[in-house]
Amino acid sequence: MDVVRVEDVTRSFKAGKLETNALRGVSLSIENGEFTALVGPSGSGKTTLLQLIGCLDQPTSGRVFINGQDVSRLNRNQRADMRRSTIGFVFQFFALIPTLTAYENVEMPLLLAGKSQEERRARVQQLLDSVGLADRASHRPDQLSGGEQQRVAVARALASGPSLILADEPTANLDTANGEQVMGTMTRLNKETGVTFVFATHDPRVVKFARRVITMQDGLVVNHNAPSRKV
Amino acid sequence: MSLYLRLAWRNVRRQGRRTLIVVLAMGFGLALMMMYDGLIAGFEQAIYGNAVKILGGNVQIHAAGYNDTPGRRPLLPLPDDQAVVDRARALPQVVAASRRIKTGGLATSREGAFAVEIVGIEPEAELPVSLTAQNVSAGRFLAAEDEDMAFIGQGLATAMGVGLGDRFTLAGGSTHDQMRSRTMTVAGIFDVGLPDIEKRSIYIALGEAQRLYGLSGQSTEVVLFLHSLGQEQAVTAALAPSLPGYEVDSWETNFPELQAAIGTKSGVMNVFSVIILMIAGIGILNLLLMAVYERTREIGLLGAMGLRPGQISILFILEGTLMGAVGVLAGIALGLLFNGLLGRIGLDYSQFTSLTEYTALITTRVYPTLGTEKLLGRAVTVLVISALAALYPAREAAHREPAEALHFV
Amino acid sequence: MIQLLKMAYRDLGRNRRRSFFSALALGMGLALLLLMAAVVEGEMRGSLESTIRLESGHLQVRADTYDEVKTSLAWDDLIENPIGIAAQIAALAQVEIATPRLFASGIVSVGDETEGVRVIGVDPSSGANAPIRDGLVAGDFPAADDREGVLLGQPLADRLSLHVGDQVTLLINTSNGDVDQQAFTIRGLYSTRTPTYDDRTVFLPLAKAQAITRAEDHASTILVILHDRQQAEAVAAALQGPGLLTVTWQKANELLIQTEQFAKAYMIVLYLIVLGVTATVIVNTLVMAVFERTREIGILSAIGMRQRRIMAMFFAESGLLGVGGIALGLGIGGLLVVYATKQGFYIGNMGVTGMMLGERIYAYLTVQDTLTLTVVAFIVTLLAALYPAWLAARLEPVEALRAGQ
Repeated sequence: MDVVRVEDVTRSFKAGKLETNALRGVSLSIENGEFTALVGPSGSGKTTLLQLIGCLDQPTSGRVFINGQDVSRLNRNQRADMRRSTIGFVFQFFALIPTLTAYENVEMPLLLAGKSQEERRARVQQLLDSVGLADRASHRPDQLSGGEQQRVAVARALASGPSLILADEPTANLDTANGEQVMGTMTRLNKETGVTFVFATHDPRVVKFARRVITMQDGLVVNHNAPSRKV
Repeated sequence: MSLYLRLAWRNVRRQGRRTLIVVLAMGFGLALMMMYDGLIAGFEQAIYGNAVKILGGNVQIHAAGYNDTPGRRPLLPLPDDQAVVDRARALPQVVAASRRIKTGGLATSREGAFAVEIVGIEPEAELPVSLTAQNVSAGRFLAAEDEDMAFIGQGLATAMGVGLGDRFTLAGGSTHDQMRSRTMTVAGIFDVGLPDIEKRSIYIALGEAQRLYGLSGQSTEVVLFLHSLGQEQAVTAALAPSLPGYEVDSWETNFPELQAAIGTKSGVMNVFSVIILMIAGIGILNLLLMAVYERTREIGLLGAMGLRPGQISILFILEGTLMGAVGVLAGIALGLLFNGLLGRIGLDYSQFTSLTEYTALITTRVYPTLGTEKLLGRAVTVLVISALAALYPAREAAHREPAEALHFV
Repeated sequence: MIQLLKMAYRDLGRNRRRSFFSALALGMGLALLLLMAAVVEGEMRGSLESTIRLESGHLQVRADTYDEVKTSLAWDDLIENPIGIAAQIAALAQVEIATPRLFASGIVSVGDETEGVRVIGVDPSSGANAPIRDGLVAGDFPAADDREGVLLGQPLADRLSLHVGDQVTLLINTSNGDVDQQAFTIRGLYSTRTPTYDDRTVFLPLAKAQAITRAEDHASTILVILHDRQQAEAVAAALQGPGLLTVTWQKANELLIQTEQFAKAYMIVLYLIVLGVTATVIVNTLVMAVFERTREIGILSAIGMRQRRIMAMFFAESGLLGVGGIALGLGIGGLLVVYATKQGFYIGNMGVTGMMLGERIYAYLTVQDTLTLTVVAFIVTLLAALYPAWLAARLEPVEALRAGQ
């Protein structure tokens, strides 16, 4: 079953008189359990595509299906619900809420889902464990290293039990060691839990972790199914 | 909903510096409003407080039917004036309660005849609160056992051409529609700097009035002097039910011209204070706009985590309101502190004016009140403004596409 | 300097909404201050005008032993040959009107009701009566030779349930201390909208007043109206004579003028409060702006901008905001003041404080008040920038740059 299916999607932005075509007709599909990278230089459209898949944005034309459901015509509230239950995000800039501790950041999606105190505690502990940060639970983002922050973000992304995690340049702000650690964590989680991972990146160190690489250029997919290759 | 409250409250606490600034702004604004209110109330006391004293007290109690014909002063005795006085003295707001007899009359001297109001008073009861007693310019205030003695104002003394110790004829309306005439001696003269008012009344001892006008052992009015202006409602409400068959009024009904003056002044002042609140409202709006702006990325993140736009709005509105609540509390504390201090010391205006040379009516020392008169309304307004001021930026932020918000730097 | 201003202007423009709201807050603050000042000034002018028109005129010439509280009718206290003297005074170039008036105290009596009144004997044809004439609600002044006519104030008539044509008894104290009594017919009713006045003042023709009080060819005062009230002192000097005293309107209204000072002092604290609220708004906005622009300040500092200049930048922005806000304030304030000047506020009866005030206050904004308040508002705006500017200058560039993340 396809977790993600994208049909002939375009996305253009108007800024004043300037019109940019970020995506110019993309079709692809991603299966359950994949660990896939969207690769391409800056401006290739990979981030835009990721945002469309993640219901963070709407295509100008074409359709996007998540678990068989057409999300491209959903209204705001429905898209939000989609994001709450089915999709998790990891961002380049860590995007943790700066005033909350690691524990509280990971707990957030569970709070929003209305889980009880005991359920939340158990789950957050487990998640922080699985990313190796159980002992940093009460630290704030400004007290954590870049790598640690990103791992907290991964834990948070998993909190609501999504079937799909989207990561946008997750290692861009990390040094090699931290970057490898984060990617290693995500690989392990993909194997353990079967959650589908898709990330957008142009960092070759990351690409080596992916089992499938989709190459993009100038708003189009140029290579769908190239098998993952050690670089 | 309680989840949102908890989240909002946690956010407010964790924001630290930003919350502090907003809270200070609102708190300061509210404290200033309280000072404004306290000052205005203080001025009213200073200017009108004495006027009320000299016109005849804060609250007047008469027998039923007294006010039937406005402008006339019937000699209607109270069924049990002592009981009324005792009841009144039990109330905390009452500084003094005393019995009076009022009737219309004519004072005649070698200069001619002058229409006056004759007021029989209990000197011991009224001495502590009597403005006239505090401004004796010749002779002395009355004593209870005075016979054929009158206490008159300087304006009347000048018009009548009499001085301390001189005699004049006083004719007053008695019971059974008769006029009783008597020769009086001027026992004392008071000067409050307002000849027109001084010309209107002559004071004699209650006992004398009872003898002269056929009301032995009785009185036509019980007069109450309160601690401050504004307590009349409470006192009337407390007394009226226990005194059926009496008419309980305050200076507001008996001297409507004074009430109109204060009422309109305070109406004008209210317009001003509404404008001040609007200015504060703009400030709060501005601050909240910026606060939301700064947290745009966070808003995008919340959206990414699946929070609906409406829910994000609620969260921010709650944050704004909670900050408002804290600000209000801070403001109240600050306002009470400041007004409390100032209310003790008082503001001395005497160097700005030599007014006191002219009139004893206006005290130039102003004591601001605590400013709690309008507090509830003001606090609620600040809260509402905070909620509304948070509404606009919150909606705006929540309705951005998360994609946009997230890539916001 | 110009560069600084240009930069400041551009910076303000970058966040147009915030700049607008800050300027708006300042503008509203200034507008409110102008309105408050105008209302207080208008109130005072109104009552002064009222008193001059009805009571003191610009000058009064009296016998030097005359006491207006006593309203003595002894010939020694009065002016002899008042009509002749009035004519002499009227001949002076600066004088518009000079007319004799006689004051007496009396009692109006109807059935059992009595009311103490002041009786004024006037020359019905004199222009000095204009305020009463303008306020005639029924009937007219009694004619100069009318021996039984009286003009009453409307409030007094209402209290005694009287109308034009009704009869009242007037008791008047005469010059030798007797009380003379006569029945009069009400010829007219007036209202000057100053209740303290209308309640207690009745008019008789001068000749009749003189006759009934036995004052004969005497009057209490010569009321003088000038073309220009500022000349009162000068004309007073010219009117000195044996046994005569000339009182200017300033002297006659000392109480009022003192009260004006008191009210103005009282207002200062209120002005401070308004300024306090406005300043709080501005300071907080600026402080938030500093925090928001931390990174930018860090960059500027890193590329070599000195602390002084960073502070100057914030002062310049604050100054421009001040100018914008003041423009807004003068605009809004101007509109409000114009409305308050034309329409006025209804205030009812202010009788008891002894001051004469009409039933409406009309605002009046002086140039001096406008200038003072504007300058003060601008200074406050600049002062408001002190703390934020100091904050900005204190930032370490490295901290600032990092903080943006």
